Amino acid sequence: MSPPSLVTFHGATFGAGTAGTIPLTSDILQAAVNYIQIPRGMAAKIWAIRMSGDAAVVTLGFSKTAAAAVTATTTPFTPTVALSAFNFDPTLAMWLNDNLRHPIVVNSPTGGECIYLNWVNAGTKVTQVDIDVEFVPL
Amino acid sequence: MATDEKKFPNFKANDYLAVTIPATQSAMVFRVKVRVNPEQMLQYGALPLATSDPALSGMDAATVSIPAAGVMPGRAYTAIGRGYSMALTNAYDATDMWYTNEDYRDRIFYIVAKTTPSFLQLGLEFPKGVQQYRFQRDNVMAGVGTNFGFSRGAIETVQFPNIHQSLRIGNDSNLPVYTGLTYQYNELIIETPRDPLTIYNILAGRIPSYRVDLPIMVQDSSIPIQLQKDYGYTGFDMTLLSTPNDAVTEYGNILKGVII
Repeated sequence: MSPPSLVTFHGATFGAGTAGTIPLTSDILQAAVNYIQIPRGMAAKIWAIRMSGDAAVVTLGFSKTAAAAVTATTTPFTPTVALSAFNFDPTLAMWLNDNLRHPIVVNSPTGGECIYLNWVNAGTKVTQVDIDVEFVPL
Repeated sequence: MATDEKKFPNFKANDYLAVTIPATQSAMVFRVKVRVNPEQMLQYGALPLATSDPALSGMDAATVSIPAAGVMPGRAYTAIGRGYSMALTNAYDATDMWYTNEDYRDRIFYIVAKTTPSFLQLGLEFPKGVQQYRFQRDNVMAGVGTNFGFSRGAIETVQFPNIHQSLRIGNDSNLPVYTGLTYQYNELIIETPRDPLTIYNILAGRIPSYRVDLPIMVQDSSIPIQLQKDYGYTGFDMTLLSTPNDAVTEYGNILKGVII
C-alpha cells in the first residue's frame, strides 16, 4: 500500500498530421512516455484535464495490455476502450472533467493497465494538454 | 511491514519499543530514555541511483540501465544483494549514514524511509545483501521485483549498531521517474527494562508499546552475533508468552547478562 501521489503530466499535439498519441512529460519524468502504466494493485484517479491552444478532440484511452518489453517511447498496445472524449472549446482556458471534482478512476489489478491521450485535430494546429493523475492504492 | 497509510510514531521519554525478529520468534525490548532529535524529518534528496551503477534488473527486459542520476527507470528493480545504503559525509560510516558500532549501543534509530513518487516498491535487506521476504518458508521468494512482499512509498525499520541494512527499490510502472527520499527518524537513547514481568507484559500486550516487526524471516548468523555483542542478549523468547511463569523466569535469566 502506498500514500497518494499526485502527478501532473503535460503534452501537446504534434502540429502535423491529423491524429496521434500525445507524448507526456512531467516534472518527475526523466523522459517522455506515450502512456502511463499503473502499478499493480493501484488505481489512477484522473482529477482534471486542462487544455489550451487550438481546438482538438482529446480521448482518454485505456488498455489492459501494456505489453512486455515496454519502453518510454513506444506504444505497444492497441487502444481498446475510450473512457472519455473531451471536445475542447478554445474559449476556455481550463477544462475540468467534473465540476463536482469526481475523478475518473482507472483500476490496475494486474499491473498491465495503462492510460494514454489520443488526439484528433487538423494539420498544423497545436493543443496543449495537462492531466492530473493521482496514484492511490486499490 | 510498514505502509504509509498508518501513522508512524515519534517516541517520547518512557515509551516502550518492542522489536520483533520473526525468524527467531523473539523480540528486543527497550525503554526510551529520551529522543535526541526534536525535529524528525530529514530531506535526504534523490535516491543514490547513478548512471555508473551496474544495470538494474528488468521486469520485462533482462536489465535496465539507470538513465540519469537519481532516476529510477520504469519496469526495473535493484537485484537481490544490490540494495542501496545512504551516504552522509562525516557520519560514523560515511557510506551508510545509519550505521554505528557498539560504542553507540545506548542509542538506536527508529527510521521511516519515504520515497517520491510514492508508488515505488521498497524492501529492506537485513543485513545488507540478504533478501528476507519469503512465502511459505523458502518456497517462494517475494519482495521487490515480484508481485508481493514489499511496501510502497514508505518502510520502517530499527537500526542497531554493527548491522548494515540496505534498501531495494522497484518501479513497476513504465515511468522513468526522478526520485526523492525523506526520512522520519528518531534517535533514541534507550535502556532495557530490568523487570522481567515488565518485559512479559510488554510482549503480551498488557503494557502499551510500539512494535516493529523487522523483515527478518530467515536468520542470518551475523544478526545474533552482533545483538549479543551490542546488548548481551539476542532476544526475549516470544514462544513463552503462553506460560507466564516460565517466561518471567527465562526473561529474568536473560536480564542478568544484559549490557544496557
